[in-house]
Amino acid sequence: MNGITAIEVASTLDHLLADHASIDRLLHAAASEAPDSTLLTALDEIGLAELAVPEEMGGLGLDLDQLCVVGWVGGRRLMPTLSRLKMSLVGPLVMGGLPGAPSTSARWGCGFPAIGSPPAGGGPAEGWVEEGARVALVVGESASRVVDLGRPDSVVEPSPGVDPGQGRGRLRFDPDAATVLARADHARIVDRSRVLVIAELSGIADRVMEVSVDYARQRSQFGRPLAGFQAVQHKLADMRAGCELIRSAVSRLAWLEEPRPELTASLSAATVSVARQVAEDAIQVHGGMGFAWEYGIHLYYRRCLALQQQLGGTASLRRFVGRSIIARRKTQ
Amino acid sequence: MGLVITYEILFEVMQAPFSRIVPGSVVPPTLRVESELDDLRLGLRQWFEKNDPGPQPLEYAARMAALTRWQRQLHRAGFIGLSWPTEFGGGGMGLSAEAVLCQELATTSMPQLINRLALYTWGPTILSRGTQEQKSRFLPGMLDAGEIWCQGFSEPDAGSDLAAVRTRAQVSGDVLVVDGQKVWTSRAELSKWNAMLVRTDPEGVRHSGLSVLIVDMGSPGVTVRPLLQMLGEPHFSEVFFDGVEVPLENVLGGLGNGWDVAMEAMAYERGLFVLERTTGLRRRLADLVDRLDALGKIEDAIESLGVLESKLDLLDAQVFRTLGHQENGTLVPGSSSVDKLFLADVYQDIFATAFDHLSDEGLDDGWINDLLESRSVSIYSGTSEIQRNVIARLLLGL
Repeated sequence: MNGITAIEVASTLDHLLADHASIDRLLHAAASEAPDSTLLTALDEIGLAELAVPEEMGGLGLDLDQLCVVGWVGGRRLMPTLSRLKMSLVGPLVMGGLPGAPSTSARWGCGFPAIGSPPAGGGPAEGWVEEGARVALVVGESASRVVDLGRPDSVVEPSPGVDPGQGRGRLRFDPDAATVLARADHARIVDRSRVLVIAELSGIADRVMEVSVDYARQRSQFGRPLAGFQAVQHKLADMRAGCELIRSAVSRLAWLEEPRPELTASLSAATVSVARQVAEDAIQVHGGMGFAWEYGIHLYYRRCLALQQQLGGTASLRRFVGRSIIARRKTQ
Repeated sequence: MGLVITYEILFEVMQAPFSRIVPGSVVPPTLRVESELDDLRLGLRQWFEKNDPGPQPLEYAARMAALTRWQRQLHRAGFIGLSWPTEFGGGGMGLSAEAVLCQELATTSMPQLINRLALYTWGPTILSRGTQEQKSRFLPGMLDAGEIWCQGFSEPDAGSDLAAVRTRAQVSGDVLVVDGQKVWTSRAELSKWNAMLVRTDPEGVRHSGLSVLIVDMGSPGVTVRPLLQMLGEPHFSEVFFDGVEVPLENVLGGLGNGWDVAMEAMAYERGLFVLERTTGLRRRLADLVDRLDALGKIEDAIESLGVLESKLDLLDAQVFRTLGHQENGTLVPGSSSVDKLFLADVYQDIFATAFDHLSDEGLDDGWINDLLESRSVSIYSGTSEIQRNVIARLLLGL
């Protein structure tokens, strides 16, 4: 697998999202509480689900560092969460030879109660579900399963939450009665998901920081641009520093020889707070425009908050990290 | 909105294979210390086990003497200057070897290196900017701690505004004559050499007309007056220069190039120096866990400990990336200000949190001293406000 192909994919994705996921269209999706179905179809068509699938199984066999570049572009352009999940999880699971799972072309859902946290037994789980989804990957506290949604006791109710253009639903199923089509490599799924979320956060933070710097250069008050005021410069500098830190986290994790789940969890906890702060500062720098619906800065903030929930909630992640350092001390 | 800025970054990425991505890329290079260098790590651990000097003396002067002996011992064992060229007594290895030494010193609670300003800042600057004679003259004494180094930047009227330095050095024959005053000079009383930023061209304005001089602290006309810092210890001094003669060959990097040389030195200070601080903090966080556990207070602190650990991991990631760039010679000017800014945040957070969670019975002088000392981190070698100015100017172009 050579680097150029990953760049080509990232570039294609960027063009596609620039056309199909303009701020206006994202605002429309948020207002109607459903993702743009033509966008989802277009994303399927460029083969996102095949990126992480090994070459011998017909995919592009991208490595984690290459997927991070694609995830970063997705973050910048606020790509729908379900598409990222299909890219990093569903595709590799299905085409990577998970027995019993339907193909990627089937309608899918990804139940993410929160990566690595309850429900342990089964539903209800919050997740991202395509209309007419037949199957869902449900990532629980200690196990990940592919579940058949084609049963009367599996119900998907709309649950738009903080990032309403995503098509999130609350998935209810009876853990005892549900048909488990396949069991997945849980530890790997959780770790890989988190790394891709950090790459996405990196893209979101970079983009919202750049937009803020441009705005501060253009907008004048008291007869000079906002960017001429040291108070604003320092806020922008903090945002840029945050972006650098998140990128360093992506770099650290993408270059590891072996996955280190505790480090991934720890960097998830740290970066999600940093990214959220960057998005909050962006709203502040934009003033009234930052708070206005039509300008869309809130979309970046909403996505950061949604990712915070996806990662399992920051408080519980921090407790997980706290407990692991205590455990490490006790074994030394 | 609808900005298309991705391409310049993508373009940069396209210039290199993914295994060696250039700066500005999405997944930048990072120093790898995981599985390489296992032999070095093992060698250090075994040597530390046999040569552990135990607790350091509490009294300041005795502690400084013990630290000097410690670095000399480490040097004899071949562990100092691991990344320096062998022709100057170094180990000829990469920066990752230095990183391993930093980590092992901290994780095994061994004392710090007393001459770290020389090893991490001025040694690399001399290697980059110095003459062959300067390298041969100054580098060996740095390694064995035979010659301790200090740095003369700040003055009474030039703190954050470093370019306002007024200490003058006038050329007179084959010497420079130095007159003026420096302040906040750490370990001045122990030092043989002072790397000073001085004004060599009286007509020079601001950043021009400055030079870096290497001044023998034993020269006639140098007076050191210790200042007590917040802890009551004489960590730094005022230093007065009254007609001090310095040979012309002690100018580092050429007359009039002082600002560039000083900035390069400060960039070095961000790499291994920050890593050393980070690994020290990791050790203190482990101490805090043990202490809270012994006091039966650990349950209340779990989330706070998680915050601190995750911030330390993020700081490590940042430092490894900076070191990766330093090793490849691709460090973007201004980028290491991020390291310093975040170091101060994490450093202060750790000791403030420790103070919040340890009750009277848990707080010994060590924790209180560390909390007091932590306030210096957002001030020394460029305040956090200066770091933000640098980021705004160099990274954001504001």
